[in-house]
Amino acid sequence: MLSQNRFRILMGIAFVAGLVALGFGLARVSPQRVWEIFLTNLLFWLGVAQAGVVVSACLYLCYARWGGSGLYRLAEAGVDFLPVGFLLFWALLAGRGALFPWISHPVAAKAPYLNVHFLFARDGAGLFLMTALSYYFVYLSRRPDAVNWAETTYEEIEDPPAAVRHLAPVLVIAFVLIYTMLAIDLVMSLSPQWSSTMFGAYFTMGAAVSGLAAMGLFAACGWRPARHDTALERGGVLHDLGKLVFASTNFWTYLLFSLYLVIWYGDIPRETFFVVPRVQAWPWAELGWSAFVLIWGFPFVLLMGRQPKRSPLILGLTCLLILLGVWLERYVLIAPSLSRYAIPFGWVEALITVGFAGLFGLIVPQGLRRVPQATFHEAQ
Amino acid sequence: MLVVAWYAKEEHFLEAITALREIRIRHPRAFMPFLSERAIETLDTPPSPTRYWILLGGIFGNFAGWALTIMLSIYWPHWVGNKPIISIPPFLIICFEMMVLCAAGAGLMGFILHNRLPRLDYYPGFDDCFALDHFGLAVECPSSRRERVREALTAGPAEFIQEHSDRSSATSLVN
Amino acid sequence: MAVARTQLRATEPTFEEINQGVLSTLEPPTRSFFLAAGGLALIVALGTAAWGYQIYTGLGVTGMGQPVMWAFYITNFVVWVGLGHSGTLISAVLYLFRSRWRPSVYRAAETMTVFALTTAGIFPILHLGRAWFFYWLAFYPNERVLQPDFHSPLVWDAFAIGTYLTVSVIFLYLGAIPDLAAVAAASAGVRRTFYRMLSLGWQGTDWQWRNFSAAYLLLAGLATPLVISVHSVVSFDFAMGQLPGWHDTIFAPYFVASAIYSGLGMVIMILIVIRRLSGLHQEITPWHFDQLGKLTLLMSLIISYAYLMEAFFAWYSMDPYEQTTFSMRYFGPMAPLFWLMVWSNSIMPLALFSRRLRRDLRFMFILGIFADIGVWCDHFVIIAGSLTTNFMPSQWGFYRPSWVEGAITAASIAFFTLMYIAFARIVPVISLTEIKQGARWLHRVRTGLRRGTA
Repeated sequence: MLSQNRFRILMGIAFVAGLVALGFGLARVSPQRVWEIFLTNLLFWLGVAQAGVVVSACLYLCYARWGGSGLYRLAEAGVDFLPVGFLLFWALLAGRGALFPWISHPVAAKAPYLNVHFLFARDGAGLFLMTALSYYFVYLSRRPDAVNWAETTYEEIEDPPAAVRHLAPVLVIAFVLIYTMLAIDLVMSLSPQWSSTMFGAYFTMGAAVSGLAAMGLFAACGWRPARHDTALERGGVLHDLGKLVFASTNFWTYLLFSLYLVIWYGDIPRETFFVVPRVQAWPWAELGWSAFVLIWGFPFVLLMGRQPKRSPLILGLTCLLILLGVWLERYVLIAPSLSRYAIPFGWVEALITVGFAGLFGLIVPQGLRRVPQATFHEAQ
Repeated sequence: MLVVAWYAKEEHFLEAITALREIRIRHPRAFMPFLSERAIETLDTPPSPTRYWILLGGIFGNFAGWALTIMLSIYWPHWVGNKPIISIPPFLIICFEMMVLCAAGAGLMGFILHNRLPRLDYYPGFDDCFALDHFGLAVECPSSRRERVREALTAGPAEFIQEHSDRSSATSLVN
Repeated sequence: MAVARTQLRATEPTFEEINQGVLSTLEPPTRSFFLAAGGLALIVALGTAAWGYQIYTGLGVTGMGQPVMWAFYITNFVVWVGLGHSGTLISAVLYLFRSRWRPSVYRAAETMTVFALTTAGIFPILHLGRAWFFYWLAFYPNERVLQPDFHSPLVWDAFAIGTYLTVSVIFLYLGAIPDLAAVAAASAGVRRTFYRMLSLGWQGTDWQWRNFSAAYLLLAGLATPLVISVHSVVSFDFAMGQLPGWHDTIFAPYFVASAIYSGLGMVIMILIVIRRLSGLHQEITPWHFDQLGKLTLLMSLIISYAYLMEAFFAWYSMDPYEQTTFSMRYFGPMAPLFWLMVWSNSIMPLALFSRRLRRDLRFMFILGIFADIGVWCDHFVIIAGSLTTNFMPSQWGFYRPSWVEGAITAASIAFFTLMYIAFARIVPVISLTEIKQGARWLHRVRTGLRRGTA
């Protein structure tokens, strides 16, 4: 394993490479391609970071103490990426002409909603609100009273601290509403003639899946065999995380199937034009199905049994595949609206993605360092 | 010889099981008014084969669902709403339901068969209070070991101990 | 000093106290029971007579007609199926979550599921008109070479609900076997033989419990996807069509959430009544209603999200048919029902954010009533309301229910209640074994409630 310094250097190099690719791509390749991949990565990494904090809120709402305070620290690890994501969102202003077809070809009837000022104002306000709420929530969650509550044996009936308990539902509701709005504004509006009442929920669930998968991956990486004198034995935490990941991917699949089946059965061109390129037609169909197999197929087979969920190797690998799948899914949702007949993926896109990964890798480890070492020790 | 002990508390019951294991009696017949997972673990009860029934039932149900829908659709090819005769999305729903139905049915059958239900007679040592509010341990042993067995059974304070020279007289406890 | 029956006891419940408390619900019925059963049977008889009149005269005696061919009966069907879902949620899903408060409430909820599904199953047959041809839906060799159309959501419905009913019955029965054995042990004579037969001679050995645990856990795992899938399939009856107001991608989770919401409303009402009539104050505490209230609030928020999405996308889609349907829904003849539904499903449940109100049983009972009325209105507005304003204005037509539909609806409620109270006299509505298993936890709940920390 890499030392912390080397890891930081590697991530720094990745980030710089991404910046260079961004500049080169804007200047020499194609602004549309650059902003497509920028948006894909922004929504993906922001989703991973934000969903983790929301998962923490959900755990508080369920009075979950099966993972101790370490589980909450694990979920909240990505919070420092949120203000970065908020700032990166404003970069989309520079690329709005290349991204949003309703700027160059306005849809008159939808203009009250689809216009630059209103869109950026509401999405910016929403992301600001999510960032502020998340930071305050994590601050409350890291306080000693909340940590002590999480570490108490769960045989006792005891509420989490009141402030956390009251803020948690607000955070979850805000997440669902604001990410629905982001889905409509930043993804659905790329095909302005298309609409689906389910899309917001489906997109938000994809973010939640990526957040849980990231937690599973981090937990698997942090797993260590316990020494015999370890006071804190959390046998089964990996198992329970694996169950959450398994359930979330299946629920995501359920939402996808509900969305797909209604459109498939109705066979109305106004709806099918969005789905057909992503599921049936060349060249995007293969990528679409690959995303589905990565998000549902592999976890369904690999995480069904008891032992695989307790194995850090299998859980970690599966979560990594899920994360790849969600990234691919974001890409398949966004890019075909703008590049219908060709997959615009070259070294520019690859490096920009690496750049985002590097940025994430620079910021999130400081949150992960707050996870107590013993959280994922399994008894031998 | 059959020695039967009654326990009012789960802790006493568990202590007695542990004491029996120390004298190498690993599989006494245990009676519980509710599921005590600690007792099951301590007794080292083997895993239930019911899960295989459910798995096989589910696999069968899934295949049966595909077979049913595809074969009957080919048998009566009703072209409706521009849907292909063999359409995966609609048939998937039926296969899923058939999978769950057959898995549940197979699970129930497995449960009944492996428990050897319905059971008309009583296990030696069974008493009504084991279904209501007491735990019980029934140990078959030769007369020579009787004292050691009694000692182990009282390690967790037993409320009551009874001895029977043969199994059949133990079942007459139940009225 | 005698402690009032409703006052929470300070000591950990003994097995004897639990046995006494729960087995007392199986005491021989009193005169008031027979009076209630008689009254309910009378309503059922009247409903059956109305059905007979409908069979004799034809479906025209109902208010249904072009364009509203689906109205009360289908609404009742969807609502009854939906009511069953929260029972399985509480018994199966909460079992997988290792929820500690489940034992006090799950048997009553599961029983509700089975009888709600049974009641629901009457309506598709009733709706056929020529009900004796119901077997045409099955696949069997026939000389006309006809087979069910597996592309049809109605056929998916038959499979989904048939599976759900079967699995619910198996799940309910399996979980009740140890309790039935306990009742047999506490009985004598014919009653003892009856319960021994029902419990298949269960004796609670470690091997039997091991098999039970495995079967129950896996059945809970099987029943869990059914909670989501069955009402999704029911929603597909409408979503697969192209009718504005029906053709909506969010229908599946929307219907599931409203089903669980209505089911929780009914479970809350049933538990309050059982607690009162059977004196189970020690086992079903305000803390349990607090947890049920939180679940109810969650479902209400999901429903509100769906309303928001529908309203927004009715405008955003720029589809004139969709916009017309929704403006008629909000401001047309169905508006009173629509706004009652919004009040019952979205606004009133916001009070559940208050812990004090979640533990106030009078409020919870009233909420339960509004929840069920609200969801009924929701489905009626969607089903009949969308049909009243379809693509062709020349086809538009309003619907008014007839006395036949009213009588049959009332009879369905009476039928459900009658079956439930009869069943509650035979099988304990609280799980005896699981309450004993969680006696220590129940003691902590009571202690926390008495001290104000829980």
